[in-house]
Amino acid sequence: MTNKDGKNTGKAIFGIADIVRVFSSFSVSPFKAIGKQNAELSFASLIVPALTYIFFAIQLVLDRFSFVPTMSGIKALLTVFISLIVGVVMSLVSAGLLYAVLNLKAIKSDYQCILLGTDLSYIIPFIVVFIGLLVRLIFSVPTTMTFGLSALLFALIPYGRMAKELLKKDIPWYVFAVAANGILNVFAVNIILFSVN
Amino acid sequence: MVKINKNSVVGIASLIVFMFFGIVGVSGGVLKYVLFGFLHLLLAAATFVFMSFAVEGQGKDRRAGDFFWCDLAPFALILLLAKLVAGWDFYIIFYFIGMLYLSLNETLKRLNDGFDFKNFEFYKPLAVGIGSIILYVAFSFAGGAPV
Repeated sequence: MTNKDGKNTGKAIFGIADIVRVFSSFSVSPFKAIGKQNAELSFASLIVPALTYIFFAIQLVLDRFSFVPTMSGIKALLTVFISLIVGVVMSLVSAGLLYAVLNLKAIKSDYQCILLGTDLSYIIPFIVVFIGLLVRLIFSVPTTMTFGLSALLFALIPYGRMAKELLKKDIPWYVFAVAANGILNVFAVNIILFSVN
Repeated sequence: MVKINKNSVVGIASLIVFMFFGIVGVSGGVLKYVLFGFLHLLLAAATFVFMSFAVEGQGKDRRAGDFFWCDLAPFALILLLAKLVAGWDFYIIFYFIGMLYLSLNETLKRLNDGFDFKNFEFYKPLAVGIGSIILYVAFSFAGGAPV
């Protein structure tokens, strides 16, 4: 980068730190990247959690096909369809939970903004689950736990950072919101596991 | 009157929950339980001391008022409820995500504070977090954890 005299200042226009900062604001701290002008994207972005849960279900189904002889194609399709619904509902409910906590604390908030933040928190899990699916297909190793479940729980990290920011570091409510969302995640995975059995 | 540091209490309680599940997950004889119990306690103490130092020991005590251990607390709660309500047996994943969250959060805070990549202070919490995860996973596998 050069200054107005044409001399090199030695600073890169877009350094690694800036790239990390931008990526972290989108995927690790989603609330920094969203604003009311993007709120209408919230329902369209539900595709991210939906696809994350679908890829998780596909890994689970592939594992079941390897180890359970009674596994059928219909059951596999049903599991994938249920995971699509679970993904969408989970994101809506997680956003609703945080919205309810914010309302209880009398903090002004917008449901669509929170929903967009919740959806964006599934960006890294989506990438991890997709890599897991590729590993499963190429190397035929079970990846449901290592990639699938850890990716779904990873969504709690950006969600937690967003909750902390919105709740203005009110620690007890922040712990409650993240823990409640985590339990919802556990039940969502349990529903998918139940549907495949 | 002794002033209790709530941040430290939350950190110790969360680590105890994780280490308790780590010890319960050990399968084998009494000697193995004693050995892995000791190792897990040592790991909990080391994680607490080193992470507290990595986050607070900046010379200016910048983070002393920040409840950084509270990032680990929800995951200890989720693990407890997942075991009690849903009957889940795997616990390593919760420690992995919880510790990753704690260390990643502190590292990103340093990025916002203007620390650069060349400064070791930037990596300290991440180094402690990753080291603790590696040891916890190693102890769990060696102890015969259900994964």
